[in-house]
Amino acid sequence: MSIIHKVIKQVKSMKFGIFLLALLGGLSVFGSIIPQGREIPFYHSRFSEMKSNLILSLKLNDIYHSWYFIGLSSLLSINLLLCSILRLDTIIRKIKGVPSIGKETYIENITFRQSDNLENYINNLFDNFGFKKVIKKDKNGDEIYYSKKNSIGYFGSWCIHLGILLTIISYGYGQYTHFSSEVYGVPGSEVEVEGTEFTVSIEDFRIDYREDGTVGQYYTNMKLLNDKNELLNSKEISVNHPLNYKGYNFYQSATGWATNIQFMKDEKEVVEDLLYEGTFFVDEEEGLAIQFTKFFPDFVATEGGLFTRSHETNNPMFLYALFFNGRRVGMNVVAPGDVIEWNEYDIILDNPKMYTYLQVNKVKGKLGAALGSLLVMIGLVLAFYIKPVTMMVKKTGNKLLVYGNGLEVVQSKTFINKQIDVYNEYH
Amino acid sequence: MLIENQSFNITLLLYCIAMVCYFVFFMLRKEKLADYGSLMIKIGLVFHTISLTSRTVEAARLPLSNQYEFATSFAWGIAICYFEFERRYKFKVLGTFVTPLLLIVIFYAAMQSRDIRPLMPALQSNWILIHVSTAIFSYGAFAIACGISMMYLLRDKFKQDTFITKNMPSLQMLDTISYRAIALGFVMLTVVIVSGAIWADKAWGRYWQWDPKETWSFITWVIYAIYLHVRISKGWKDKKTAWFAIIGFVSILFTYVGVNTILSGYHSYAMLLWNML
Ligand code: HEM
Repeated sequence: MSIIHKVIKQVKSMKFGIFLLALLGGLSVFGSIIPQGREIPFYHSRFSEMKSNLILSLKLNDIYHSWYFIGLSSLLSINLLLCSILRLDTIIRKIKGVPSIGKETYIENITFRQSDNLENYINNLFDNFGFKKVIKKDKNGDEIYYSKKNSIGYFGSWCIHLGILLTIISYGYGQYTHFSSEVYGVPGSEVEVEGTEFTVSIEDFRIDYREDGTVGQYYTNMKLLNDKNELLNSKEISVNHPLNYKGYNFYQSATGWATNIQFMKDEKEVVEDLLYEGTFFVDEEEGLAIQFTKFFPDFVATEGGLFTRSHETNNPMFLYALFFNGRRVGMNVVAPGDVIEWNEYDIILDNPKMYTYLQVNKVKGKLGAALGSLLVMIGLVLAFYIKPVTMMVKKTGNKLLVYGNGLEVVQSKTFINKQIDVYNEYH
Repeated sequence: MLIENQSFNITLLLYCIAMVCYFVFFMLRKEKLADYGSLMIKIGLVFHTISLTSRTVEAARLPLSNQYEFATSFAWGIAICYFEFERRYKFKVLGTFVTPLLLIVIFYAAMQSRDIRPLMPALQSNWILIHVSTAIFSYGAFAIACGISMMYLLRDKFKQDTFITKNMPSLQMLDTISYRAIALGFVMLTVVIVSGAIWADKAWGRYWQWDPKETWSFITWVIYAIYLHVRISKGWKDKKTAWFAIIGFVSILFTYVGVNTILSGYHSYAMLLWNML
């Protein structure tokens, strides 16, 4: 055997495949314990120096994209491919071929005297087990009759492995070609989706509240436009109900508050803008910045802190912080429309409204992954629940030897009795 | 709420009594007690079903969405699977090994808050219904396989003990039953993973994100896949296979409880988004 053959033999083997699978499973344990895909400083602050260096040098911080994880997955794919290709032949032989006696369970040994009705008798035997099509063969001077049922079950594990292969490849392809972006804005705004020709027009955004104040659903009414401002699609999307256009999916993903901001110096308006909760408005020329820290629709101040009593805007308040040349110079709450005064500057936060945040994704290979997992599920049912059964009768001299493989009834008394009854008819 | 709580408490009590019966049966070798244990489980199952049904009515949705609801449904799945396997294979000792697992899960349920909370938008999906309801039966079947595999190891160790040889099926039979339970659990687990992926795709556009929950269901799946292969490749059979069935169930418990408690500090991607919403 040449080296190449030896290597192939190893690579296609079940042991090697299972070994790879176990390794991938083991690596995933690390992936689940160590937070994935964070910034480098996170690991330095979270773990001791030795550990964080180890994590970063072994790429344990992004294990699923590491060369060894991808390498092992590729090896597993090759293993599955080889084993699927090479085993197909065996399966077909199992289905088409004459059963070999060594592997069949021996059931009964019948001595007969009359031979004129023999064929009938044998067909009856098969019929007892629900075998319809009986094949007759001569083999080494013996007459062999056999029949098979549920042969499709032999394809079970083959389907599973092929399905897994298809899923791994589709997933890998999807990861490799993955596109992801996001858009957000208040109703009435049009936002370009970076990296595409699309513009999203946010027509409306609303939240359904239940009686108890919890959120029932978030809805964004959106229009999808191309760079020529032509309408491509429109839909009211909500969580679990994205808009799909040519593989791009637009997901309702998050929400928050935004406010209009008016910035004035010496009572002359300098700028008017929209400010999102948690973000800053910075006037670099003046060295002044204001952070819209938080919005309270139904504000209440207690000893424990600042809260909102409900989602309704009964007593709206903005929490803000003012900075001058990088130093915080003020922090307070203010009602919409009230003026925040600081030296010669006046700032007004007004007209609070909710914005919607949409995730935009394009993941390729979903169809492949879906087909792959469907194959796996079909294969599992075939492998576990469609048991191939074979029955064979061999005539040697004046004896009939009955064999069965996979027959549940093989050991049961009823079969033996039935068989003897049939047998007696021929006496 | 009252009916639900009362029935749940009665269930808990009945399962406890069942476990004690099965233990005394096993330790003191009083066969009658196993029959009582079996009866307790059956009555317990009735109350358990009442408890779950009344919660379903009260919440106007299936009780499959928080830790308490899933834990009690999970315990129900174990009890149902136990009922079916006991009926089918008729050996009493199974209860001695499965009731402790049942008790672990239902006690975990008892420790959780029983408040009925409305579903957050991300959880309003038919896929998640398929996801969780298949999980219940998958976990139930794996629990049975775990119990049977513990029996396997014990039976293997005490080959000479007449009580054990009389009350436990042969090693080969135990292996077969455990295999059937795992086959069922594995098919279900695959459906759990696939439906979960479809749901994640609908909700976030990523069907597989390697978050800790997903990762641990993958690890569990790998463990049982190894079990299936180890079992068919000659020479590995016997005790090693049984150990894989036990480790698999530990991994199931970890996927369900451990990921939420031990690993929850590192918010997963999904959790992060849930919190944003
Ligand atoms: C990736 C995850 C895998 C899963 C979920 C899986 C699943 C299965 C299942 C369910 C069976 C049928 C077992 C039974 O009937 O008891 C099986 C059989 C088998 N698997 Fe896998 N498998 C996987 C990977 C592999 C790999 C990597 C190999 C390596 C070549 C492999 C080789 C085999 C072989 C040779 C059989 C026996 C086939 C037969 O006798 O019909 N499997 N597999």
